[in-house]
Parts: sequence; C-alpha cells; structure tokens
Amino acid sequence: MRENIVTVTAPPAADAPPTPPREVAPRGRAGRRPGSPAAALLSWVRGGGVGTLVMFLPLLLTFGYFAWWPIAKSLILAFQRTDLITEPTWVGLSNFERVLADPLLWTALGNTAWFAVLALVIGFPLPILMAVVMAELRRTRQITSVLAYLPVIIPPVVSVLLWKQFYEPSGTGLFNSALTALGIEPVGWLQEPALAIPSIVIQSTWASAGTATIIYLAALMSIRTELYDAAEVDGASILQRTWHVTLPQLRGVILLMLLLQLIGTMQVFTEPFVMTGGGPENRTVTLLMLVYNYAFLSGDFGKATALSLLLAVGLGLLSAVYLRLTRKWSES
Amino acid sequence: MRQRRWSRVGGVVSSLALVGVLVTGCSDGAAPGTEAQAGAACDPEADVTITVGERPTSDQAATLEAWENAIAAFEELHPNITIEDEETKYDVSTFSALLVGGTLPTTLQVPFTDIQALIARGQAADITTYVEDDEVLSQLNPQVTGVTQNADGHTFGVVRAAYTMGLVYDRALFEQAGLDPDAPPATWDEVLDAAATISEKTGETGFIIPTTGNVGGWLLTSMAYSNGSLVQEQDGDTTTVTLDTPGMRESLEFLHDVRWGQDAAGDNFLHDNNTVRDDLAAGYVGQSLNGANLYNSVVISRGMPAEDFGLAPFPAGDDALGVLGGGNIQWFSPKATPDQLCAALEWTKYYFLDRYVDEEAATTWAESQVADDLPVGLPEVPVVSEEQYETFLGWIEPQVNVPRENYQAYIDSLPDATIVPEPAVKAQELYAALDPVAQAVLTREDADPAELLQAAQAQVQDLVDAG
Repeated sequence: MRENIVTVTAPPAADAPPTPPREVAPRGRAGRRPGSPAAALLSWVRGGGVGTLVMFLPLLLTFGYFAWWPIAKSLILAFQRTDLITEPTWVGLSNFERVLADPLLWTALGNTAWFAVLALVIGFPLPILMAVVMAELRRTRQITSVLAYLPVIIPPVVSVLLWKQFYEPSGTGLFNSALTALGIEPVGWLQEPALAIPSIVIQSTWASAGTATIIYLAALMSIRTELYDAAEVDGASILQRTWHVTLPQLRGVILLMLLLQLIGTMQVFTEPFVMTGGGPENRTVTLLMLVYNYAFLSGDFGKATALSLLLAVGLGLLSAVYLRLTRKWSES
Repeated sequence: MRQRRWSRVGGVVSSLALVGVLVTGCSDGAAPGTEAQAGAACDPEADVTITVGERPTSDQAATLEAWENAIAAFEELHPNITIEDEETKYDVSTFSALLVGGTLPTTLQVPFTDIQALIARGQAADITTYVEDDEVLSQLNPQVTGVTQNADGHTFGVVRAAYTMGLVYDRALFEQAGLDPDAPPATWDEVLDAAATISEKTGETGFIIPTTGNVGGWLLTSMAYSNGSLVQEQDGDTTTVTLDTPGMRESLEFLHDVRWGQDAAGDNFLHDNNTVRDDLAAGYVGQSLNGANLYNSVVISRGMPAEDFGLAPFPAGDDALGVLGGGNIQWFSPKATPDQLCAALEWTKYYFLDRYVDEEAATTWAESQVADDLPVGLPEVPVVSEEQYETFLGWIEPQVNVPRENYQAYIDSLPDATIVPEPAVKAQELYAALDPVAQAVLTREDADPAELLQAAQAQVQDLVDAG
C-alpha cells in the first residue's frame, strides 16, 4: 500500500523544530479505497490518460478495424459453418477435423516444408555471400547494391510471370535455349515433379535476395574496421576474416533473418499459384494455396480459417522453439 | 506499482471497449440473413432502386451509349424503378466477400460453372415465384434453364446466353497441315489423327487442354460425358462419385495417346485457361476443347484473325450421353427485397432477353456491337424457342460480322444437342481432384489411369460425404 501514499515533506523553518512528515490521503472522494479500479481510473484520467487515448485512437481504430477485428472474426469463423448469408452455426472442431482428414493437407504440408528447406539451403546463404563480396568490393559497392536490389523492385506477379517464360518447357524458353545451344535436351522445369519446387525456389530466391543482401550489407558496414585490421595483421585470409570476424558479428541479424525467412517461406503462395497452379500432380500445392482453394473455389470459409489458424499456431510454436534454441547463441 | 498497473489495465480495457463499440457501430448490426423471403409477393408499382453490374467500360463507347440509353428508356418505362449501374463483374475470389459486405449489385452475370455452388451455399436468391408468373421467363428453353434450378425444382437465376462445349481449332494450321478446315474432326479418333498431322506438318501443338485451375477437371468431365459416363450418381439425398468409369478411362487414354503415342501435345502440360488461349490466338495450338463462346476471348481480346477461328461440335465417343453446357446466368442477390428482385428481373428481360422477341431491341443491340467491333451472330444455344431464335437471326442478319460458315458444323449440331448438366454436388472440388489426373497422364508415360481415378474418386467422395 505504501506505493499509493503521497508523502509531502515541508521544508523546516529555520527556527522551528523539525516536524514529522505529514501523511496525505490520495486525492479523490472521501471513502474511495485507494488502489481500487475506480480510483485508478480517476488517477489515469487525471494523469492525462484521455489525451493519450485520443492521440492513440487513430492507430487503435485503424489496426482494430483492418487487422485485429478480421483476425478475431477469422478465429470465430474457424469454429463455425457459414455461407456468409444466413446465420452461421457453431460446429465445434468439425472444421479442424475436416481439414485434418483432407489427404491433400499432408501433400501441401510436405511441399511447403520442402520449399522452406530448399529456400533455406539455396536462398539463405546467398545474400550473406553477396553482401560479403559487395562489402569487399568497395569501389563497386553502390552499383552492385543497386543491381542486387533491382529484382525486388519488380512487382511479384510480374517477376513470377517473367520466370515462367524463362522456364518455358519448349526449346524457346530462356534456360532451354541455353541448354539446346549446348546440345542438351530441353527440360520441363516446372513440369517434372522433382524439378518443380526447386525451380520455384530459384525464382523466389532471385526475387527476394536483394532485400536480405542490403540488410546484411548494412550490418556489415557497422562492423568495426579495427577487427578486420587486427585480423589482417594476424595474417588472416579473406575466408578466415569472413569466418572469424564477419559471421560472428552478423550473428544477431542472421538469426532474425532466418526466423523471418522460415515464416515467409511457410506462407509461400504467389509463386506456385501463378507458375504451376499447384501442378504437376499437386507437387507444388502449398498450405496457403489450400487455404485459397477452400475459401474461394469451394466457398468453405470455416475450413479455410481453420487451416489458417493451424498454420498460425504452427508458426507461433516454431518461432517460440527457434527463439528458445537460439537464445543462448544470440546472447553470447 | 499496482496503481500504475490498474491505470494501464483501465486504459487498455477502455480502449478495447471503445474499439468494440466503434467496430460494432461500423457493421450493420443486423445478423446476416436473407431479406427476400422465397415466394414473398412483390409490388411491381413500388418505388425501388436496384444496382446492376457489368456496365460496359468506356473503351466500348457505342455499347456504353446503348447501355445508358437502355437504362434511360427502362426508367421511363418503369418510373418507379431507379437503376444504379456499376462495372462490377463476377469474380469467384471476391464474390463472397462483396456479398457479405453488401457491396454486390442486385443482379450480376455468373457463369454456368458456378451457379450450382452458389445455390448450394445459399448465395443466390430464390426467384421461383416471380419466374413462374412471368410470361417471358417461364417460356425460356428448358434445355438450358435446368442449370439454374436446385434438386427441388426451385429457380435461382435466368439464363441469358447459352452454348455447349466445343472443339476449338485453328483453321490456318489445319490448312498448313493439309487438312480441310471445313470438315473438322467429329470423333476422338479423328481429333487424334488431326493432332498428329498438325504436329508433324507444322511443328505446332496438335491438341492440348488446360490442366490447372479446375479447368482440366471440367474438360475431363465433358470428355467423360461424351464417352458415356457421368461423374456423379444421385439417389435421393445420396451422391455417389463415379470417376473410375469406362468413359473417364477412355478420355484419359485419349490424352495419353495424344501425348505419348503421337507426341502431338506440345511441350507445356500445365496450361491454365489463359495460356491455352494465348497459344491458340498466336497460332501455336491446332485444337483444344473449351466453351463455344471462346471467340471473344481469342479473337477480340487476343487478336487471333477471325477467319482462323474454327469451332466444331464437341467430339463424340461411341456412347455419348450428350454435351456439357455453358453460358451466362443472371444472378440475383439473396439480400435483395422482393420488390428489388422483381425490378431486377424486369431489367434482365428488358436488356438481355427482349432482343430475342423485339426487332427494335435486336437491331439496336446489334448495331452497337458492330460499332464497337464486337461480334454479332456467334453461334449459341437459343434461350428462346427455335422458331423465335430464327426470327431474331433474321432481324440481325445485316449486322452479322462473324464468318458463321466457319462454325457450320457446330451450328448444325445444336438442334439435336443433348445438354448434360454439371455435377450437382461439389463440382469445383471434383474438377480440382481431376486436374492432377490430367496432368499425370500428360507428364508421366507410366501413369496408371485406374489408380489415379480411384484415388480422386475416394477423395471427392469423402468431401461429398463430409457435406
């Protein structure tokens, strides 16, 4: 209770004997218990809470209406069956059961996980490597930064359609033209079940590596040059400097980017949707494509939101485990 | 500390409460429900405002002018009805959101393929009573109106244009390959032979169909009909999915033969409906299957020379049951009031159907089409009686601007065509399950049709049983 007591000490008069501190009751109507919600609210109002709220209101309304309310609504929808016209009915966990019973779910989960793993193997080290090389090539850093970032400027669907042309299965596609010139048979990049996901990963890496490269480059620029100077004095090669100085200094950024990439790749949609429509033989159907199909092809919003919720929970758990596992490393 | 915590909690709670109040205030407050009760009487004289979609875009100046004139004339004829028009068109991915948001027009065009799903989901108004009582709407061609009805015979839309599936082919490629474009293939064997010849003589794709976006399943279903098998059987409330059938296997064998036997299917086996049209318009594809209304898409939108566009009846197998139909249906919002529904039906008759029964309306429509370089005289399944349709053709004959002789075989087939409806239950899910089957036989020489079909059948049956 002592936190709620305001203590006022009057300066003692020069000739007066020191007086004991006088306890003053908290401001408010007599009889209101200090610390009660009503008193706290009053205190909050008097402390300028209303003004803060008014300032906060536009943000609150915007996020509330366009983000939190739809999220809350979709949470509710996951437990309902609705045609969006008549009164929805509560169906308990039925939507989840129907999602888990869909054989395509496991195909989509497998495809999505395979995409995430390949994106990790192919797409994750590349921006780091590019950033390190660009940092070393100081004279051309600006132009290489621009070149690396250019693909990001292209709208995603345009870039996907562009690559669809590159992957054209006839001999006229960009890649197959090169192969044909070398006397190699054209390849069905997006049509061979084994090649479809890797082909999409390559496009996706091309389209997104620029952003990660620029972030890594910015982090590299913040590394103190003395560390490199010391390493050079000790006779470290470029490779050794990268391994012993650069990578440890980038550790925090790398851990964050890895988590963001995991979350991003588990939500892949545009690339397979535009490039393959999920084919061949469902080899590129992803979890988000399944959500889309449930919602917009089948009009089953309950099932779509149930799968969305499962994905969100799964990603939340994945992130928590990841943060737990890497906490020690990121702090050391 | 506790006081500060209470202050914080109080602030957050009051903020959330405020958001809740405001959000609730922003929504319409009323529980979603159908405003128009099925069968409720309407007052044809009541003042009413309706919203209609598909206002022509400004690049179609003459059609837009005709549209605006039609609205003005309609409002003069029906002073109690006010029409607000907008360019909104049907889009499967936004339809539900717009509907629940209350921003869809009162009436809109939807394709044949989607109306049954909308009926099943309660997303189309029941207009049975108003249609039964109407002289024009009750007389429409029963061959095509069945698609707008549910199992109980209730009507949920008005067919305003209809066609059947057909064989679409490139007449120029036929000539280059030494084939007679005026004698298009009529059977699957003939299609296969023509595909092989085109591929061999021109180096272009002899035959291909789209296999993604549920279009592969839609076309395989049509092929199964033509080979004597349905994809669903109804017994009362029980639906049995029948994909592993002789007709469907024969259809897959045909695709397999085109691809692996004759190597005449080109290089791309993951076409969607747009990329096949692109290639057809560009002269890279000799034959494909699609709705017979493809002219607009490949000639008007993609620039294929009109004289190269060929249309033939859907190839027939030995035990053909008939052909899948397609077309445009005028949909009505389940949120509309009875008065709005009656007004929207009046507009539908006035703008889309009167041309078949009124000479002035017919010529006005045809002249505006010609002025915008849009087609007049494309083959279609008449939505009115044969006799009335012939009269309509006579009215618009001076304006006909498409080479109807290039579609003669298709036109000749229409009077005897048996239109088989789409699967009644979970049609889109069924098509989705068949897409990978079509992809499999086109991409894997050793694909086993029986195995693929049994798996797809079990998958769709589970979905049907789950409701």
